[in-house]
Amino acid sequence: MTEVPFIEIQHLTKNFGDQPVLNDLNLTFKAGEFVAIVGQSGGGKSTLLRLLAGLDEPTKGSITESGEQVEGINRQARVMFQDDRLLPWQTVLENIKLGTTDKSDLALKTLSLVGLADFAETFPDKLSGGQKQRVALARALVAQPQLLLLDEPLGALDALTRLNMQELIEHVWQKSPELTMILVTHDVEESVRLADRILVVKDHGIALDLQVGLPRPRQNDQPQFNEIVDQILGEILEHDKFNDD
Amino acid sequence: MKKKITWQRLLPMLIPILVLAVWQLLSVLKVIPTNILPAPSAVILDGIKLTQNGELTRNLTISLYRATIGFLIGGSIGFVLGLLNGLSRISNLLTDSSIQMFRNIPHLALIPMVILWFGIGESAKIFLVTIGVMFPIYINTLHGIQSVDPGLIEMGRVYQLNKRQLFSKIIFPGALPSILVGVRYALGVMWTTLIVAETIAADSGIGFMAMNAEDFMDMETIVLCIVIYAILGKLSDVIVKYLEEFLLDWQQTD
Amino acid sequence: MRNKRQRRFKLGVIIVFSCLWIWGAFVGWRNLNVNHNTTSKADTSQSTKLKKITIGYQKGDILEITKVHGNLDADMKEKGYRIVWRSFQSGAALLQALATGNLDFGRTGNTPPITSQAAGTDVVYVGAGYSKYNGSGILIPNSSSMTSVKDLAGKSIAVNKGSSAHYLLVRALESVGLSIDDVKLVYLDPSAARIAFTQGKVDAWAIWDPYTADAQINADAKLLVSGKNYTTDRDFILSTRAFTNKHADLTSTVVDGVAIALDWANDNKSELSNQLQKSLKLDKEVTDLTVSRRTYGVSKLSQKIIQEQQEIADLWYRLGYIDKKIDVDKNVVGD
Repeated sequence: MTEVPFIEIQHLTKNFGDQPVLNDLNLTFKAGEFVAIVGQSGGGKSTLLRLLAGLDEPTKGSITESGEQVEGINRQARVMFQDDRLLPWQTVLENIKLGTTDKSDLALKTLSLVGLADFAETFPDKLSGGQKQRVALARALVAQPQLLLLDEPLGALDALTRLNMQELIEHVWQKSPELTMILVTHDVEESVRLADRILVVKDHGIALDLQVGLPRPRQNDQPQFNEIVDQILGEILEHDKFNDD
Repeated sequence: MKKKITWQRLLPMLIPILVLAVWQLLSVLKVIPTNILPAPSAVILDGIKLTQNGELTRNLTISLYRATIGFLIGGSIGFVLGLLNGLSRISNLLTDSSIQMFRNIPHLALIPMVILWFGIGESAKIFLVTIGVMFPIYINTLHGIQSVDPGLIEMGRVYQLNKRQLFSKIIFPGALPSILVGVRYALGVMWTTLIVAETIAADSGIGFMAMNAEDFMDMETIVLCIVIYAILGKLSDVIVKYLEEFLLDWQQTD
Repeated sequence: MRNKRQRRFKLGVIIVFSCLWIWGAFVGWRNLNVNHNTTSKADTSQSTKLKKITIGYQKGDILEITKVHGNLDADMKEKGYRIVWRSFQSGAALLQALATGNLDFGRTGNTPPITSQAAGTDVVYVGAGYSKYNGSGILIPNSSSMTSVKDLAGKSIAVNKGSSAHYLLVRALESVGLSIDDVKLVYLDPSAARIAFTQGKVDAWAIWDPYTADAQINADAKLLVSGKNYTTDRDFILSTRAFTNKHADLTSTVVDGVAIALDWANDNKSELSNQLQKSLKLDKEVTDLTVSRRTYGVSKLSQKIIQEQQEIADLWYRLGYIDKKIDVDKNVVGD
C-alpha cells in the first residue's frame, strides 16, 4: 500500500535577514513515523521544527499537512520545548488541561500515563526537572495531536532521568500508532535509540536521510546500534575534522 | 517546634514594646519633658478622649474615604495605562515617555495648580491621591507585563490559546506579582499624599488633625497622628500581604 | 500542594479587612456630607434658593469670632445668602484660594495682601482690623541678657518669612540702624520656630499672638520689644475685584457684621477667651493674655491705613521680597 504522505515539505527555504538557515528542503513524513533530526547547533534543526509548528513563516516553499497547507499555528501539532514552559501559577492538572476543553478524565489518565497521578494538585515549582518534562509531555498529549514536535526536550536533564524519559516517549509513541513524532536532538545515541528515521541537517539542507530498522527496545551495546551512531557522527562532523583539536 | 514558632512570631514586637516601655519610664521620671515628647500613656489618653468626642473617628473615616476614592481612581487609571502600554507597542510609544516625565513632578509642586483646577473642595484632595497612586501602579503593571516570559506566550500560542486566554492565563498571572508590588507601594504613597493633600484648606481628616495640632503645639495629638499613620500603613501592608499570599500561593516555599 | 484551609483563612482575612475598610470609607463619606449639610440644613428646609458665599478664616481670628457669634450668617440669610465657612492653615493658602476664586472673603495679616498684589492677583482690601501690636513682638528667653534691639546684632532670629512679624523685625532693626544683614535670620513657620526657640537653637523669635502669649506663659520667654512704634499689625478682610464689582453691597454687610461681632468680643472678653481656648486648644491663661491685650474692631480703610500698607509695600520692594512697586490704593474697595 503506497501511503499518502502525512506531511509534505516542498522547496522550503528560511532566511533570517540575509542569513540562509534552510535552503530548498524537500521532505515527506508518513503518519505514525518517528523521525529524529540531528545536526550541529545552529544548523537549522530547531528552525525546521518551528516551521512545522507554524511558529515561524517560511521565506519560500510550503508545508502541507494531510493535504492542507500549514498557515499560522499548526492546529494538529503540539510542541515540547527544551525548557518545560509550564505555567508556575497553575497546578499540574491545570497546566495539562491548558488549551483543551475541560477533559478532566483524559487529563488525569494522561497524568497517570506519565506516572505523576499523585501530583495533580502540585505547583510545578515543587517538581524536579524530569517531572516537569513529564508534565509538559502529558500536556502535549492531552490534546491528542497528530503531530508531536519535540525540541530537545531532554537536553537539560541528567543522564538517568534522560533514559527514563526516552523510555516514556518511546512507550507513548508505541501506544498511539497514528502519532507522528519529530524529535530534534543533538544527542546522536538518543536519536538512534528512538527514531525510525534520522535526518542529519547540515549546510542548510538534509545531509543524510537514514532509516533505522533495529528492533525495539534498542540498547547501545548492540554492534549495529553503534555502527549507525558512528555513521551519523561521521556525517555530522565531516567538515570539522580539520579543526578538531 | 510549635513553641519556637510562636516565639519567633512575637520577636518583631519586641523592639516596639521595649521602646514604648523605656519611653514611658523616661517620661514618668521626667527625663523627657512632656512638652517635647509626651508619654505614651498621655498619647493613649488623648486618643481615647478624641475617640469619645468623635473627632478621631470622624477625621479617620473621612481620610479613609478620600484615600479609598483616590486609590480606586488612580489605581484603575494606572492599571489600564499599564495594560495598554504593556500590550500595545503603539500605545507605549505614544504615551510612555510623557507619563514618565509627569511622574517625576513632586506632588507638592502641583498644589497651586490643583487649587486652580479643582478648587479647595474634596476633588482637589482626591486628585492628589489619584496622581500619587497612579504612577506606582502604572510602572509595575507595565513592568510586570513586559517581563512575562516570552517562551510562555509562545507556548500559549502553540497550545491554541486565543487572545483572551493568553491574557487571562499567561500575561496577567505572570504580571501579577509585579502589580501587587505596585499596589503595596501605592498604598504607602496614598497615605503620604493624602496627608499633604489634607493641608489644603481642609477642615477634616487626619492630615488636618496633625496640622492643626502642630500649629498649636498639641504634642499628644501630633504623636497620636504619627501613630495612626504607622498603624494605617501597617494595616494596608498586611492586607496586601495576605492578598499576595492568596493570589500568589504558587510562589510559596513551604 | 494547594492548602485549601489556609487559602480559605487568608481569603477570610482579606474579605473582613476589605469590608471594614469600605465600611470606614463609607462612614467617612457620610461624615463629609453631614459636615457640609449641618450649616445649611436648617436653611435648605426653608429655601434652597440661598446663594452661597464662601468665607475663609484661620483659627482664632476675627472671622472665626464672627462665625461663632453667628450674626453675619443671620444678616446674610436675610439678603438671600448662605455662608460656607472654610478654615485655612496659613494666610498664603487662604490668599491662593481667594485669588483663584474659591473664596469670596477671607482674612490675613498685613503682609500677604502686599505679596499677592505684587503677584498680579485682583485681591482687594475691604476692611481693616484695629491695630494689635501689643501681642506681637520679638521674644527672647527670660534668661537672656539682651535689653534692647541693638543687642540683636549678630544673633539668630526665627521668623516666618514674609509675615507681619518679619516686617516688625525689619522695622525694629532699622529703627536702631541695623539691617537684616546684621542678624542671622532663620526662616521657620510658627510651630517649627517654637521648637527651635524653646530648644535654644535660636536666640530670638519674632512672632504674633497667641504664640507670643503661649511662649511667655509656657516657655520662659519675655518680649524684648512689642510691635508698638514699629507696626500696627492689623488684620485685613480681603475679597476680589471680580466679586466686589458684582456685590458691592455685600462688602459693607461683611464689614459691618464683623464689626458687630467684635463689639460683642470687646464686651465679653472672658467668654471670648473660653471660645478661643476651645478652638485653639490652648491654656486658659494663654487665651486670657491674648484677648486682654488687644482691642477688637474693624473699619473701612482710611488714608492712614492705606499709607501704612504702602510703607510695607515699599519696604518689601526695597528688600527685594516683591519685584515690582505697587500702589496699595489701587486695590482698596469702598468709599
